[in-house]
Amino acid sequence: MRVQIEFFGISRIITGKSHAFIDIPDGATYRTLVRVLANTYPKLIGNVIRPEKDTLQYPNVFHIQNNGLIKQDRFDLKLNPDHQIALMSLSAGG
Amino acid sequence: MIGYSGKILHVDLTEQNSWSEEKPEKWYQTYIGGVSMASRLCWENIEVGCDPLSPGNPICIANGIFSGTPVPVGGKYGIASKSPLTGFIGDSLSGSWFSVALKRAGWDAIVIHGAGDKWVNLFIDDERVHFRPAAKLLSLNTYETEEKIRDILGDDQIRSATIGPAGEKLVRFANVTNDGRQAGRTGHGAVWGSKKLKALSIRGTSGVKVADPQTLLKWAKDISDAAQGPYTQKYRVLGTVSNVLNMNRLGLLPTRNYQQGEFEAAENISGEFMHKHFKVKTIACAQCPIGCEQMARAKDGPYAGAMSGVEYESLYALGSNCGITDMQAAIKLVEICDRAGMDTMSAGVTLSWAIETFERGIFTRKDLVCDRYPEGFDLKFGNAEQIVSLLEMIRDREGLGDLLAEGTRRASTTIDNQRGTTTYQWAMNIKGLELPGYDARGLKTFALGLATGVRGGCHNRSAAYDPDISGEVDRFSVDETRGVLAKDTEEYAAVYDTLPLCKFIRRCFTGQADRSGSWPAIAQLINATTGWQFNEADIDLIGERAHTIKKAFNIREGWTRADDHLPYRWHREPLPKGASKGSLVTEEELEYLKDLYYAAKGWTKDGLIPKEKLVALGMEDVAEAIGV
Repeated sequence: MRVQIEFFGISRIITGKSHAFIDIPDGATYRTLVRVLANTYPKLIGNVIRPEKDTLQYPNVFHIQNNGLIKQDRFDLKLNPDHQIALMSLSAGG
Repeated sequence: MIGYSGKILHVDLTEQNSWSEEKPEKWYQTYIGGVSMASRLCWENIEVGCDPLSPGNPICIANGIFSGTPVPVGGKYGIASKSPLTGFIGDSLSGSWFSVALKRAGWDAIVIHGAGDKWVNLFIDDERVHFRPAAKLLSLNTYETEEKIRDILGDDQIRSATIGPAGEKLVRFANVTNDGRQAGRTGHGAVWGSKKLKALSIRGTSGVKVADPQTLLKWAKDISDAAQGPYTQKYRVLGTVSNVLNMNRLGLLPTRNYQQGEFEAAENISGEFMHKHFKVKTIACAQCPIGCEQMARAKDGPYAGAMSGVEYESLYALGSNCGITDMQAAIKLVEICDRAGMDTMSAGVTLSWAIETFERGIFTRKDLVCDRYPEGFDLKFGNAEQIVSLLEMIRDREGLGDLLAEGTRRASTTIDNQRGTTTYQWAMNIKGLELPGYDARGLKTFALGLATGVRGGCHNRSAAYDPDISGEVDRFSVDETRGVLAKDTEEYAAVYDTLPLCKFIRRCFTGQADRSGSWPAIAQLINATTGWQFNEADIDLIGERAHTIKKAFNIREGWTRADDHLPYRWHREPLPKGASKGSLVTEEELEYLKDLYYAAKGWTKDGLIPKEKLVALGMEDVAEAIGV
């Protein structure tokens, strides 16, 4: 399946893209998505994706529109091509 | 005592004299520095019940325990007075070289009493105090004032905290600026202006002694190394402006005076867009290895050359909240505020109130007539030219700007009394302090933190957005855990505001930002600086005491439970679209949350503080004054 992911914050600066279409096997989870992103955009490793490539570096999270945040404890959730996914870097203050 | 000079400088602007006060070490161990010590000094020195713009309202500046030491992000100070906006405690933080100069001059704190009859530049030259005439500084903007003082005094090492033209005109949300940083909120600039204090300049030539320099240096290196890594990258590369798209995505970006939580032009005023097209450099405060201030410059068009450090709170308030779609116009608006010495948040939310009032037909073109604009002009969300004009009128207190310079609460009350209108329904403030850049209709723990915040609608004193935004709790509902959460996050923030340490360092001690991750390190830093034997429980007390002295101040100045409120709009108007569509905070929910919070604090149902609680915190005199 193909999923669209929007890049916010540091991930946008690193990839140089505001969004990308990612081809990923049917039945894949968000954990799989992290690995695919790490392989597709290796510069995300360290700053956005942890070196083990199976989870995101704090404070990066996935957000599904109308569904909420997908943090590490929900990474086994299966991807859905209807999900509008954002990779966000949350921060406070300002 | 090590780590402190043990001396507090008092200056009387009316009598033009000064004296030194010494406090026992126990007092320092109770209040430490920053906002806690500044608020305690305000408690001790204010004429209770005074008008904030009267001589009885002192200016209290308390330095940081780590200023002038190797501790990263420790170059900060706190300032407290009674706020001209709220009538309650107005405490703010600023940082950088001014705090280092204060430490080297040998003063832990400064209390400024009375008011002059002529404008003055107070100059503290180590232990000497000079009342220098400030006539040549009047009408200069904040940056020009600092430069001119160095030029006049012939020493580029002199550091100054100044007010700009807005402070001179007593704009109620005028701020105090030093080294390009601001003690931004609650109107300190107006307090200084009421005393005819244009600038406070300091030259400090002494070294700074600490108890255990080797331990301090080791910690400093470890923290600095961590501060170059992933924990702070978001601040270094983008700064807080990355929150524009985040909040927009979550349906929480204040848009057109908080009428909506999504802005169709969010990409155009986003941090990412600014970084790509307008960023010129980043700037760091003194003692800071992170460097988060994003300087942006307008390149072309009517605002070409406008440049300022742009933070998220400035960008939402003067951007989406005013319907501004042009990043260069937003940079210009921030620059006007910074040079005039005005709080960008209060300015932006006051502007948006005025625009909505015009679009609803209550203000008309006639209300905008003044000497500068004899025909008046219309107001519309997104019209940058009109909004720039109106902001300049606020700075100068000209025409309608004179009313708006009073802030949204006073402005709406005046108009509603005069015209029989209900503009208070869109005056977005809490206790008179205009709101921050998170629409708390979709952040219910944070709504509680804002409502009960001692300085008003403030995101910095309440960190309760963290559990909401991070997904630790359901941000759209309330439950019995929220009182404890609001208390804990607020007292956590208060520790950082008291030391003070910039909160951006919070993960750099151990990788964990929570108490278990940071408190042991902070205790070691304090002990290495002072020779004390603080432990984690003592660090918890720092936060509770800081918050309690401010709350006590408010109670003595007449606070009641009814003052812990939310804006009308947040109770009655659900967010119309986006990821937070349909959410609001009912009045019943707020009262339930307040009950939980007061209980978590150990206060009465009315939010008052039992005597035994104050005594247990080492505040016996406060217990006598306001304890129940």
